[in-house]
Order: sequence, then C-alpha cells, then structure tokens
Amino acid sequence: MIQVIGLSKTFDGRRPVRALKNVNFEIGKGEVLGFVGLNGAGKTTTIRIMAGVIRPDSGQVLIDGKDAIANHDSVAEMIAWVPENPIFDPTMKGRDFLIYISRFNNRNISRDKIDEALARVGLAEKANEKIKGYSLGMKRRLALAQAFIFEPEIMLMDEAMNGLDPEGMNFFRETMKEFKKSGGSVLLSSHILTEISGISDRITFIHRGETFQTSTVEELEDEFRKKLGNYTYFEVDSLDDNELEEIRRNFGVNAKFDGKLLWIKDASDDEIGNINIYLVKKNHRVMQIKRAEFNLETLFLQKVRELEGVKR
Amino acid sequence: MKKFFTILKRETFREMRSWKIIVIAIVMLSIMLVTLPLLSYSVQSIQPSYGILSAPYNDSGYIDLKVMAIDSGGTPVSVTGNVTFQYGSNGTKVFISDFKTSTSSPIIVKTHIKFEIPLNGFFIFWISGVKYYSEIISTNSISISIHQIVSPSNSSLPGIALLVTSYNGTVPGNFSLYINGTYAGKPDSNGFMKAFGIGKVTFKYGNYSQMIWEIPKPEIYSSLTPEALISSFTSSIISLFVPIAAIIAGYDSLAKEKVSGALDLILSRPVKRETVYWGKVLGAFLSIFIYFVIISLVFPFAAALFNINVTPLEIVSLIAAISFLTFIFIILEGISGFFGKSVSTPLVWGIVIWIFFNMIYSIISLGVLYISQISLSSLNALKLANIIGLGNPINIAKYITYMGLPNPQVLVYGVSLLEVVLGSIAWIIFSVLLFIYLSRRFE
Repeated sequence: MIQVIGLSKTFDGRRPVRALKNVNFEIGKGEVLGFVGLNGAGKTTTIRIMAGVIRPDSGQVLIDGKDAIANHDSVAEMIAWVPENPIFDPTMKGRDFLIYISRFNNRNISRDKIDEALARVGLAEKANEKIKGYSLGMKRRLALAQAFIFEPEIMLMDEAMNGLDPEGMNFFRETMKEFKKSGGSVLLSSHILTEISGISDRITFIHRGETFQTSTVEELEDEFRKKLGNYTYFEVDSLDDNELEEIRRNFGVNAKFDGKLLWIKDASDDEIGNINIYLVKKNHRVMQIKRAEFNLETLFLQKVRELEGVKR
Repeated sequence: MKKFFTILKRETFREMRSWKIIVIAIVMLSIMLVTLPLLSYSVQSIQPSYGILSAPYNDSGYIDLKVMAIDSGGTPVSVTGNVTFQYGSNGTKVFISDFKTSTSSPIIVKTHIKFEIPLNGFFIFWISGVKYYSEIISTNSISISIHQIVSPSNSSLPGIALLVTSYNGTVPGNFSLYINGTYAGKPDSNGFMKAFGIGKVTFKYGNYSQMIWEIPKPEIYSSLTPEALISSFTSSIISLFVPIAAIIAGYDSLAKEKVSGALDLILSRPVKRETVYWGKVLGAFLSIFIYFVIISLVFPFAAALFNINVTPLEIVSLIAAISFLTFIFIILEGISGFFGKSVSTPLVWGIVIWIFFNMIYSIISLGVLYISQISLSSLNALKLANIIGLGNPINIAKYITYMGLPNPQVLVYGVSLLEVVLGSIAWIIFSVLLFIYLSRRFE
C-alpha cells in the first residue's frame, strides 16, 4: 500500500515555482492508479518525489507504513521509475547502462536477468550498441527494461507510453496487466487519457498542484452520464452573448458556451438541425456536432473548467 | 562504499577517455616542452655569472662574507662574517655580523657598497645607530661607504647596522633594495672571495687603498632566480590549463548530468545522493589528477635535457598545486549543476569563473591597491597584492608551486607557507560547504 499524504513542493529560483500544494492519494497492492492533469499540474513533480529524486517541502510518501523519503536507501529498492524523458549517457551501450545501474541496487542482479529484460522490451539485438544511436522509442524501452531488472513492487510510470509504437503500446498494456496480477502497484501518468481509462482501476485528478478527486473508472462513467450524458455539443469558432440568448429564446433549449463548445441540453435531432442552420446563417464555422459519450478527457476538461470557475 | 566506488571508477575512466581532457593535457604538455629551449635560455642568462639578488625579499637571508683585509702591520688577514638583510616597518637594515679575523691586530675595513634603490632623493645612513654618512643619490642608484673598525679579536661582534632613512627623518621602508652583483658560490681569482660580493669592496689603511673586488652591474636585472623563473612559468601554465580541464570534467561528470536529468535514474535507486555527487566529483578529480601528475613527472625529465634542474620538492609543490586547483574548480563547476536551467548554463558559468579568477580578480586587486593609496612599485603593495591573492584559488595554486623554491619570498613576498596552507584549507572548506548547502537547497 502506497500513501501519498499532503505533498507540497516549491522550486526556488529567481521566480519560485509552487509546483505542488497538496497532493494526496493511495495505491493498493495489485492496483493501477491513473494520474491525470494538465501540463504543469504537478504529475511529474509528484512522481519524482515518490522516486526519491527530489524531496518535498512537506508531506509524506508511505510505503507499507514506512516513510519512503526518510528511508530512501532501503525503500527505493521496491520502486522502479520510468521517467517521462529518459536521459542516458549517450556514450554507453544499452546493456552496459543496465549493468551499471543494477549495481545501485542492494540485491545483486544477475547478467541473465539483464539480458532477459532487454529481450522482453525487444532490445536484445541493439543491446551492444551505443545509446546515442537509439530512437526515442528505443530509449523508452530501455527505461522500461531498467525498471524490470529491479523486480519492483511499485512502478512509477511518467508518460511511459509516449513515443511507443502500436506494438510497444500493446506490449506496455500487457506488461501492466501482468504486473498488476502479480500484486504490483502502478502509478500511471499519461496524456493519452483513453489509454489511462482502459488500464487504470482508479483515477486521481490533479490541477495546479492539488489533487481534487480520486474515483474508480466506473464512478467516473456514472458522473459523466449525469453531467454530460444528455448533452450535444457544437464546436464553433465563436459565439457572442446575444446569439447565445437568441438560441435559448428561439429554440427553447438550455444552452451554454464555454468559449469553444456550445453545449445544448436535452435537444431533439430537429432542434440540433435547426440550431446548426441558425449558426451557419450567422456565418459561424461549425467544426463538429457530437452527442457526448463517455470520454475521460471531456470529463477532465469539464472538471478543470469548473475548478477554474469558467461558466459554460 | 561499493556504490561509491562504482561511481568513482566509472567517472574516472569515463573522463580519462574524454577527448577534451586528453586534448587539454596534450596541449599543456606541448606548450611546456616547446617553451623549454626559451626557458633554458632565460635560465642560463640569469645564472650567477653576475649574480642575481634574491636576498632582499628574504627577511632572514644571509650571505657568507669572506674578504681579504690587512692588519695594522700591513699583513693581509682573512675576515669572515654574515651579511643579513632585514626589512620591516622601521626601514631596511643591513647587518654585517659575526665577524671573525685571522689576526688579533686592529684592522680598518672600508667597503664600497653600491645599492640600487628605485627612489630619488636625499638619504641619511645610520650605521650602528650613529648618523654616519649621507649624500644626494642619483636616479636608481646610490653609493655609500661604510667605515668600521673591527676590534682586534677573533670573537663575534655585534656587527654593523645600516639604516636608511630619508632626509626628513622618515623611513623609506618600502623601497626595493637590490645590491649590484651579489654573487654566491665561486671564489675569485685570488681564492679569497667566498660567497660574497656586493659590487665593490675596498680596503684602506693609511694611504694604502686597494679595491679588491668589483662586480659590474648585471646586464639582466631581475629579482628572479633561475628556480623562480621555472616555477613562475610552470605555475602560469597550470593556472591556465588545469582549471579548464577541471571545469570540463566537472561539467561532463556532474553539472551536465544533473541539469539534463541523466543523474535522476541513479538517484531514484537506493543510494544516498551524497554518495553519487561525491563519487562523481572525486572520479572527475582523479582523472585530471592522473593526467596532470604524469605531465608533472615528465616535465622534469624533459627539462633536464635543457640543463634545467627541477627539484623533487618543486615537483611535489606542483602536484599539490594541480590537485588543489582541480578540486576547487570541479567543485565550483559542479555547484552550477544545482541551479542551472539548461545544459548550457553550467558551461557558461564555468567560463565565467575561469575568466573571473584568471583575469578579473587581478583587476579587482589593482583597484584595492589603488584605493589603499599604496605606491604600486613598493614592497608593501607587493605584499598586499599577494595577501589579496589568497582569495583567488589560482593565486593560491601559484603560491603552492612557489613553496617548492629554496626562497619562495622571491615570488610571494609577504605571504608565508602557513598562510598559503591556511588559504588552501579555507578554500577547500568553503567550496565543500557551499557544494553541500546548494546540493541540498536546489537538489
């Protein structure tokens, strides 16, 4: 069980940046927790703190009740981290890098295990080539391989699917399932929200350095249906207040505009068609019209708008 | 410790394979070797055919005196003694002490000593506390005569004290004193002159007068001894090249990896961050140390081919100076990795600190001297400049190199070995504490 309690972090500098204000969540054994937030929301900082790369200003990371920050020397062995942008010494060979980093473990890691990890991520043939010749996808596979060699109980995946080809994505998905089945815990951050909702058991949302909700995927689907399920949205170039008022008056519908999408509640197909004609006549470009379906991204953006106080 | 040595070993071998470090080491060695013939020529030109005085910078240096004198009966006698120069706030004194003669008869000795003083004016000379002789001196030189009756005894005498004061009674304590043709090591053609020469020495008895020795003014006039010249040369070379190599090693090994994030995967493993940082710093240090110690050991052999003698103590001093410079500049460069925003920031920082300590610091020192209103040609200015230099690791490294000289004061007047050691320790402690503090503050 991993507990993240009240993490905060400010990066000093000429202009100090308050990256985390209050981050809280838990991950159980055999659970994948999706970690969703906009760029700069604090996902990577949280993961770096959990990996022991940076220290928080306040808060705790408990692993089975043990303070992971104070006991980094012993607890880190249970954790493997796949960073968002894995940076390696380009002059090293892939296999040599794994041998080198394996020496920082408290338990010995055999060469066979390293070769096995390289084969597992599909890098066996390139293992003796210098990393500077690796593509981004190969570097990500190498980052995954280094996570595997430690046989961790916890995996911290920071945008780990970036740069993977479809085959790599599939491999990643299967690996996560296997890891989960074996009792491992995963924190999965990704901007590919469809992937996250497919793999994760629960999802934690973070915005401006604060986590504000953790729910199961089923709970989120319910929430989506309640909030957005009977909406139809028009993606339009612009809409002024008078036009919005006119739509409400002329068509007798509940309409909101959030700057990009015009949301119409409980509208029939005829009403949608007439509204579309109205918009076209008003010389607006209508990019798309869509009935809302469960979409984590839509729900998340909706939540962010709510948090930011933007009225639809 | 196993993890520390893993990093140390890797960093040492990685930096030793770095083409940048190899190029710097080769360029430095090449410059040293190519310059050797010129250095050899310079050293030969200041060999003691005329003699170069280093004593004025030595608070307690002495020159053996053995001159021919005649007793009251006209019989030549030998006279031995020590000449000691003392420099302090009360002026410059020349002591001729511990006189011994081979006769019990009274003798009269008149020596003619020519001093080169970079001052013009009217000076009064006090000998043994008595105002004895004065004259208006010409530009940059003064001739005085010292008359002293030596007691008819073989025992030691208090000697002669020569105090130079200006006409109005103030002490020109800051003048540089050069004695024409001071010479050590060879007897004259008569075999009487042993390790002493101060321009002219004349003996008088009644109407009898004989100038027994005169050494003409040296053509090259310098406070440098051959050893000092070599030491000055090597210290200048290392102070230019070693910091560059150290900055590059510190950048490649720690700063760049810290800023780029290449260190992060290691830091995420069960290892203390201090172990990682110090393993990298010391690994980079070892790589530079190994290369430049090899150069320090090769140089004396190459120098010997050109008749330049480099003593073991000078080599030890050189290695100590290289170690000090390497350590400090790797640490300073490593620090930049803790607050750099991009991978180029630490490199720019490295260039800035190199320029600052190699160039700008000297300009600041001159500014301080100017503000303090001390004459820049004076010994006090030299002393103050050398003390200010303790704030600069490059200067400290030079001082460490000079400490291998028989008479380091030739090049570091006013700064003692203890001060150099304390300055080095202060710099090491300061940089290490700064490194630890910033590594925790900025992670």
